[in-house]
Amino acid sequence: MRIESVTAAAFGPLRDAKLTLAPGLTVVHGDNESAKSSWHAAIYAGLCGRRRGPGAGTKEDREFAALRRPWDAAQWQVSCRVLLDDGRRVELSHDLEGRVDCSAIELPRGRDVSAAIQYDGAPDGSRWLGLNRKTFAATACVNQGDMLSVLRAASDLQEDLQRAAATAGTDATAAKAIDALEDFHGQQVGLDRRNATKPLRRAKLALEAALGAQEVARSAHADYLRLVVQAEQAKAAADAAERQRRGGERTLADAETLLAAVRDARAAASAADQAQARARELARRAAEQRRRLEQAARLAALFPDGEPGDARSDDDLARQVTQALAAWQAAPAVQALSGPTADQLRDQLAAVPQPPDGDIEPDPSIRALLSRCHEARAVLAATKTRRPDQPVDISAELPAQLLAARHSAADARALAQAELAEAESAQADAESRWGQTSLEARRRPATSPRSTRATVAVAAGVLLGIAGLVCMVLGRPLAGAAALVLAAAAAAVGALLRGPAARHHPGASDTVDAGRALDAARERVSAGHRGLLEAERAYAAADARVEAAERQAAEARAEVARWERDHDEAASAATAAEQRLRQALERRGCVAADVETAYECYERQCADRRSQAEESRRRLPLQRRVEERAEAERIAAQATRTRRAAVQGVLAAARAAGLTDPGLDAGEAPTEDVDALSQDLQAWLDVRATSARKAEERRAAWQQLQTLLDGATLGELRHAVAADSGAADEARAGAESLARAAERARERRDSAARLAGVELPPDDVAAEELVRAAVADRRGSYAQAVATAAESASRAAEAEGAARERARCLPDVAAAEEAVERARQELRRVEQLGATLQLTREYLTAAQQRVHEEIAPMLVETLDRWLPAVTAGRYSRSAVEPTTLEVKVAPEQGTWRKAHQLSVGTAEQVYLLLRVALAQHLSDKGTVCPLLLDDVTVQADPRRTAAILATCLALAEAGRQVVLFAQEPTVAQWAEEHLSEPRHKLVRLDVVPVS
Amino acid sequence: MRLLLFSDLHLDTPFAWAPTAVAAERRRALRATLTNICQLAADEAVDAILCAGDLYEHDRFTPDTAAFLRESFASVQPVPVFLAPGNHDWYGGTSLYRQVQWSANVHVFTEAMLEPVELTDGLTLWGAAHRGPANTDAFLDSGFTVERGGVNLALFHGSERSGLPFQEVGKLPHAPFGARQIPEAGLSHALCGHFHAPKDGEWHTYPGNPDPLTFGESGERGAVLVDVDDSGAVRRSRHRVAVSAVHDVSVDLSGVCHSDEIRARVEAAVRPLTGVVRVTLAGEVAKDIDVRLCGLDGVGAHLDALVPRVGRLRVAYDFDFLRSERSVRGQFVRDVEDDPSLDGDTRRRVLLTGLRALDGRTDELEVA
Repeated sequence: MRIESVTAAAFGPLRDAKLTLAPGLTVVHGDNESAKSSWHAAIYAGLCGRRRGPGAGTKEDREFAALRRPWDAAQWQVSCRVLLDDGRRVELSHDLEGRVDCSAIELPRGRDVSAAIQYDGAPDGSRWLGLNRKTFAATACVNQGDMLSVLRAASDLQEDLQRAAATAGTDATAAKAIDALEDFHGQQVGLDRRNATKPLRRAKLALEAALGAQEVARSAHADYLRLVVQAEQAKAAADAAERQRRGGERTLADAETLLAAVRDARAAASAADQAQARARELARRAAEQRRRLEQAARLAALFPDGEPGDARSDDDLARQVTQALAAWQAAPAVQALSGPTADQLRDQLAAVPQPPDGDIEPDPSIRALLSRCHEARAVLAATKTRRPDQPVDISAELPAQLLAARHSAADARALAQAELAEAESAQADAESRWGQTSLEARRRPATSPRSTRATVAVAAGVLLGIAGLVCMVLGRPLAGAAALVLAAAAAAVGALLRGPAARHHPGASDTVDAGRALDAARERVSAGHRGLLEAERAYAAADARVEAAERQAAEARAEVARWERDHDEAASAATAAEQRLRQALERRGCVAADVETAYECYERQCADRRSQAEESRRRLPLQRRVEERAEAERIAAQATRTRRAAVQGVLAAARAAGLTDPGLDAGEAPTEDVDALSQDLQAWLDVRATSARKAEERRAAWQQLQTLLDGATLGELRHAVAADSGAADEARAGAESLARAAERARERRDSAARLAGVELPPDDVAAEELVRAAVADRRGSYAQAVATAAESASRAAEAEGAARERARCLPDVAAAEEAVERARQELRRVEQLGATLQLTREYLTAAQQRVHEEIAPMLVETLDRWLPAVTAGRYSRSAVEPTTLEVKVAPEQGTWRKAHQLSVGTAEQVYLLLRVALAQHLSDKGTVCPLLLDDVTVQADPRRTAAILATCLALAEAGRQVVLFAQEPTVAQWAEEHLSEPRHKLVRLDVVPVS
Repeated sequence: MRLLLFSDLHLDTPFAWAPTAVAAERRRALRATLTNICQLAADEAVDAILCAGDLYEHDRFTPDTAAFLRESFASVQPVPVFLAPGNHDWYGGTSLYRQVQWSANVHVFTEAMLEPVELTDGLTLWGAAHRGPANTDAFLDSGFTVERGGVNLALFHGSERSGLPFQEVGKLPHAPFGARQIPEAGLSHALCGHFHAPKDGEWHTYPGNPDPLTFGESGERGAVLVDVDDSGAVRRSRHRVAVSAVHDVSVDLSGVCHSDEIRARVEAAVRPLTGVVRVTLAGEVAKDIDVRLCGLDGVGAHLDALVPRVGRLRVAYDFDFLRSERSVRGQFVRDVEDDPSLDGDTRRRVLLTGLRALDGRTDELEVA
């Protein structure tokens, strides 16, 4: 695409001005105030137009409008004519003020092609380049500032490349966008770490807190429900306990009612029984009174004259007669006494002696003492007769020969011991010598038979000697002696045999001599043993004899000591027995110097008392006779007095009864007479008794009448009987009423029993006991039920209180769930934001990498193509780092140099080449994007300016339209020198006049 | 016989979409709705009030709710109140139904099978209860028949199978039944709860939730006056008893130039409304405008609550042109748009976030 011309109808200071551009390089030169920048902007605005949309627009829009709006015109219009690559020519007209009258008209047909290039509400000619008005400005337009930034730092070149690669140079670089995403993520999302404070962590913590609160709320709610159930169960239990208590109370009341009913029934029954008994009693009493009245009336008829006379006037006489008769009949007969009188007998008794005081026969104890005294004396005498001979001093009188013999035996034993010791020493030496010689002898031939026989003989002798010694020790001296003799003989034979043998063997003479010496030594030892044995035996015999003599003397001394002890004991016993006998006799009054004399005295006294005792035995029968006689005399006197009194009584009674007095003497009256008189008195009594009985019967009848009347008159008795009959009738009626009341009480009791569920026994007492027990039992049950009900009620109240307490502070579950949901939403938002940022960053990073990888080779190609020409061959190679778009150049054979290491002029050339490359890359393939350069040479020296211009010309020569605005004369001069129309063109601008 | 039917009041339910104060106010509105129901019962001189379950939410009810229910139903004495517990207010050892000392006019069905209560001579009400939050068997299965004459009505909480597709998402088929099972069981009509969308079937009636529980509820929900004649035929009339309104409106932001204009449009949209309004922002907005929900704070002050959300909101980027760019931005747009693993919302968020980042709008990287 190529811009042919631009017409500024009203644009900044321009009015109806037109700028025609060459297809190659167009250098627009003008001094200050010649509207170079306005034409640069007009070209841009004529091609791209302005954004047309609601709102205030972007900052860039506003700045553009402020700078390029006509100073003195209401309209703001610009147009341009472009030639498209397909040959079409289009006129773009822009009403920049109203942004309504904007069009793209294809010439010459006049077809409106605005729709094809519409962008942000207005036609945009850069769309034919694959750009828009924003990216075109960033890509195709290079101004003084861009160049200056490259001059300031090579890093700006890199960033400019990055920006262009990212957004065609309009906005941030992709790297900055990625950094912004990361920063935003860090601020608005953050990390999910424990100590993080950014929204993600906060949202999670908030969710955890909300979940915790929700859990607490739900737990509290569940706890509340549990407490409610517990309260309900406790209340049900309390209600059940209360019902049980009320039931217990009711059953207790029933039982107590029953008990009262039982008691009432029992009392009513008792009252009825008592009333009935009283009614019966009153009825009985009324009947009795009626019978009494009838009897009284009958008796009263017997005494019309009143009370009968008293029949007891002679009762005293009758009693006297009766008593007299009884006394007479009971009077004893008087017996006559014979023999000596009691006084006589007492006199006889006084003449008889009293019994003696003391032993009448020798006492057995005295006799026993006497006997023991005699025995002790006999024992003492016998002891004296057994007195042993006086013992002798054995030690002094021991026979001298016994002691001498023992001394001699001791000496002989010592000698034998010494000899034996010497023999044993000699034997030891001999054995030693024989041992040495026998070692030598073993190397020589065996011993001769003769020597062997000698040895056998010696051995036999030794054995016989030993046997003889054994026999001697065992107490067989004869056999021992025989054995010893034989032993000596055998030893002698052995010695004889050994001697010639030694001579016949001079080579073994030492051994033989040593053997002989050994044998002799052994014999000497054997003899020593024998001698010692004999000496020992002799010494033992002598010592035994001495010991026997000493033992005999000791036994004699012991015998004398035993006798003396026995004698002393017998003497002491005799003295003691005599002393005890003497004391016993002295206690009986027999004292004498001699105990025998005293005993004789005692026997005599016993004989005297024995004769006195014989005489005194008569006193007992005589005394018994005295007593019997005195009693008989007393009884006789008593009988006489009794009979006389009875006779006197009979006589007095007879006289009182008026019987004839027989004139009897009371003391002398014969019994027959008295009996006759008593019979008369008995007859008198019989007559009197008959008349008295009749009077008594009448009197009894009277008394009965009085008793029946009991002080009342017969009439009064009749009234009383009538009153009693009335009372009896009333009592019967009352009893019947009480009986009915008792029946009703029983019915009430039975009803109460049914109500109380108690089966009553028929017996009232048992029933009351049963009911009382039931009441007590039910009282216990009721008390337990009361306690249980109270406890259950307390538990129920506690459970209800707990539930109410929980309910009072019960969290709002729904609110907690809502808080959780809000926290979840916030977390979802943050997580979604984080995921979006992360995903965006990944896409951006990937896009950046991919685009950079595409751009880098293209940049290298462009640089490599142009670099040698624009740098006059100094640099021919280039490299671009794909990740950072870092640019390096190098000569053909030189080292790589980074952009900041290049000269400023070379850097500017490189920058222009890169911009061209980017513009070509960013625009559609197949089209060539124009390049608008505004004052890019203003800061350059002539050499750099020339280099820039050379580059532009080279680009234009290659087919790209380049429009360069400049104010330097050198540029105009260079243009005049290097540019030729129609391919290239120099346009000189005049200063815009101030209107 | 005139009956007043309601169900699914869901006292003490949470409102997750609402701020704390609004949620509390919504719960108060549920209670006020029950008060309206009781008042309606008095005004219409009904013979009984019937609740077909989900009167409250077992996991969340408060003691105060228990007291409120007791007083509410006691206030309509002597009008009898029949309560058939549902899956949210299931009857059990810890249920509110057991805790309340109901007035004498309240009858709670407690068994998991239909049990008869004679409302009047010749008219029997069969009721049943859910005994757990789930797994309640169908009440009309197992050959249930009324086996008695007269008019027989049923009151329970269950799912009519043909109605399930028309209910809200996630509705579980508790105690399911088929409409034909009702006459087969000898019932004249079934008065049901569980479906929040109202339904007047030939053999059954769902009153729907009487007070809004969420947004987007449609249909004439409320309490239903049911007149039953001697033949068992029912005549139904629906009455609004809700005390508050919940609206769902969409606001087109196309052409807005700045955030104040967004507020103005939303304000204009909710101005004629009352109660709680959920605003869904849609349309195409300029790419330079940052649409933030928090920017709507204070809008609709006359409402109980304003709940904004982003709907089909598009940003006026020229994605076709951006795709054609040979820059990193163009590559980014192409990659994101061509990635089949991204869902639409994620793609939108990533595109806007990336473009804003490339535009240098580093403070606007969170896309609503």
